[in-house]
Amino acid sequence: MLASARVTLKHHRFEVLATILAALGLAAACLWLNSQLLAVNARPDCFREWMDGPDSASRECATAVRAFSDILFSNMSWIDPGMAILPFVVGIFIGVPVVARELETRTAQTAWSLSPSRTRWLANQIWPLVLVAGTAICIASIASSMLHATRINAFPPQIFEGLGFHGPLVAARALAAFGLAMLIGAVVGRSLPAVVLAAVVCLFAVLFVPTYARDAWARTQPSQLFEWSDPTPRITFDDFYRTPSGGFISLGEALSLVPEESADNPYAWMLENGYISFSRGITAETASQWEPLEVAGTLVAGVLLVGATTPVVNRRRPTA
Amino acid sequence: MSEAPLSAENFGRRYRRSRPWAVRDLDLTIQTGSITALVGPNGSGKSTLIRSWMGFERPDEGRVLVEGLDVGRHRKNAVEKLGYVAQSNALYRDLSVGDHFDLAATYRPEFDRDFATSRTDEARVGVNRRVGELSGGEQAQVGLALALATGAPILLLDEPLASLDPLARRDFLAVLVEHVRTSGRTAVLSSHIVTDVQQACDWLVVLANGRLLLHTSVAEARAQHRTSTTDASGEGVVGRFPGPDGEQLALLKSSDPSLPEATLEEIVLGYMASQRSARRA
Repeated sequence: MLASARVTLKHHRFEVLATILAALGLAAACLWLNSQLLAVNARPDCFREWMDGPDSASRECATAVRAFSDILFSNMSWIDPGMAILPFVVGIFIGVPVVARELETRTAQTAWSLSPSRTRWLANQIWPLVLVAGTAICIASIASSMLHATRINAFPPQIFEGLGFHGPLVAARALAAFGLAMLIGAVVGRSLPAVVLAAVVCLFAVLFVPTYARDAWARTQPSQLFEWSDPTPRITFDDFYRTPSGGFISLGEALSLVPEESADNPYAWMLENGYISFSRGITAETASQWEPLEVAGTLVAGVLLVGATTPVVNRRRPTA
Repeated sequence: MSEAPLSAENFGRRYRRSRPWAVRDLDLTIQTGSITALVGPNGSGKSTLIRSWMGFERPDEGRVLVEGLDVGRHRKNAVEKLGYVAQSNALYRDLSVGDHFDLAATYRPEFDRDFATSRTDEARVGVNRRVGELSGGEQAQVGLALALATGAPILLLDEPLASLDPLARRDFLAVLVEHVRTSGRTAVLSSHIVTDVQQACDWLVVLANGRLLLHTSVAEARAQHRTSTTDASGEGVVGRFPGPDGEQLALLKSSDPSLPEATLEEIVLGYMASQRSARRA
C-alpha cells in the first residue's frame, strides 16, 4: 500500500508540489502578517477608543491603531483572496487528473488490468493525495485562523464575513472541490475541459450556494426584534415600523403616511411622529452557530462527490 | 468439466446506436493452453472482443466469459484471471519500470517481481529507467513482463506488435511463446499482420466486419485450404485476392494434394476477401 502511495505521489508530483508550495506559501504569509500585527502591540482598548472616534483616542493608541491598520489593509488585499481561492485551486488541480489523465493517456488500461477492483484502485489514488494536499491545506487554514484571531480582536468582522478564508471551512471546501473535480474528470475524460467545467461549477457554487443556505438557515432560527438604535451585532430579514399606537406596519405603509410637505425627508417625519424603525433578525451569537454547519455540509458534499466517482469509474471505458 | 478459458455467447457490441455493430452474433470458445491469433482488418472487432473480456467494454447483446464467469457480472473475479498487454503504449511514461512493478505488486498479490525483473533484464531494460525513455520495443517487453509476472492463467494481447520493428516483434513473440508453452497458459493475440503471428499461434480466429469468419487450429486450417491461380470456381472457393506478384489467387476449401497448401496469410486474405465480396453483393 505504501509502495502504491509512493507511486501515486510520484505520478502526481507536479500537482502535489504546486499544492504544497501554494498552501505553505500562504501559510507563511499569514504567519508573517500575524507576527507583524502582534509586533505593533496595540491594546484591545485602543481599538475601542478608535471606534468611538479617532479624535477621542489617545495619541499612543491612535499611532498603534494606524500602524496596525496600515499593515493589515496593505496585505489583506492579497492574502484574503488567496485564502478564498486556495481550496478550489488545490481541489481542482489535484482532483481532475486522478481519473481524467489516466483516461487521456490511456494508462487506465494498464491500471485497470492490473487492479481487478477499480474501487480499490481509486481509493489507492485518492488517499495519498488527500493526505498530502489536505495536510498542506490544513496548515494554511490554521495559519489563517491565527491571523483571523488577531484581526477580530481589532476589527470585529460583519456576520458571515470572511467565512471560508480561515478555519476548517478551507479544508472542507478543498475536499468538496477535489471530489467535484475528480467526478467531472471521470465523466468528461479530458483534463482541460474538466478543469474549466469544475472551475465554473465551483465559482457558481461558492457565489450562490452558501449565501442561499445561510439565509435559509438563519430564517429557521429563533428571531427577535431589534430597534434601529440597538447596537447588538445582528443580521436582519425584515424591516418595519412600530406605530405610536404599538402596531407594526411595513416600510411602504409607513412611507404612505408621510404628508406631502415632508416627502423630502420622510424618515425624519416618521421619527418625529413616533414611528420607530425595527428589524427582525438573529444575533451574531446565534449566527455563529452556522459555521460548523457549513463545514459539516461542505464535508458531506465532498465525501458524496468522491463517492459518486466510484460508480463512474466502475462503469467507464478506460479511454477518453 | 473445466470451463473454457475464454468464450463469447451471442456477443454483440455497438458503440453508438447510429453506428454499425462493432461485433455481432459472435459465438466463440478459446481452447485451454492455446495461443490463438485473432486476425482481421482494422475495425473488424478484434480489440472490441479483447477489451470486452477485460471488462473495458460492456456487451450490448449476449455475454463474454472468462473461465465461465460472466465478465459483466463478475468483472473483478474475471480480471484476476487475466494478464493484459494493451494495443498502444499504455504505460506511465513518467514512472520507472520498477514503479510499474510496485503498482502491479500492490494489486496482484501473486505478482512475481523477481520474474518481471529478470524478464526486463533479459530485454536489457533496467528497472530504474523511466518508461518515457524506452523504445517501443522495450516498452512492449515491459508490458509483456508485467502481464506474465501477474501469474494470470490467461493472457490477452491487443495488437502489441503494431508499433514494433521486425526484430522487436520476433523478440516479443519468442518470449511470449516460450512462457505460454512452458506454463500451460492460454493466450489470445490480436493482429492485422498475419505473418507476425503465424509462427507463434496454434489456433486462428478470423474476424471481419464484426463477424466470425473462421475459427480453427492452424494445422487444420492449412490442411483444409489450398490456393489456385487458375480460374477456379464453384462451391470450394472461399475468396479471391491478389497474390504477391499481382496475379489473382483463389482460396479453396480443399485438401487436394495436387494444389499448393495455402499459407496462413493466404487463408486469412481469402476469408477477408469473401467477406468483402459478400458486402458488395
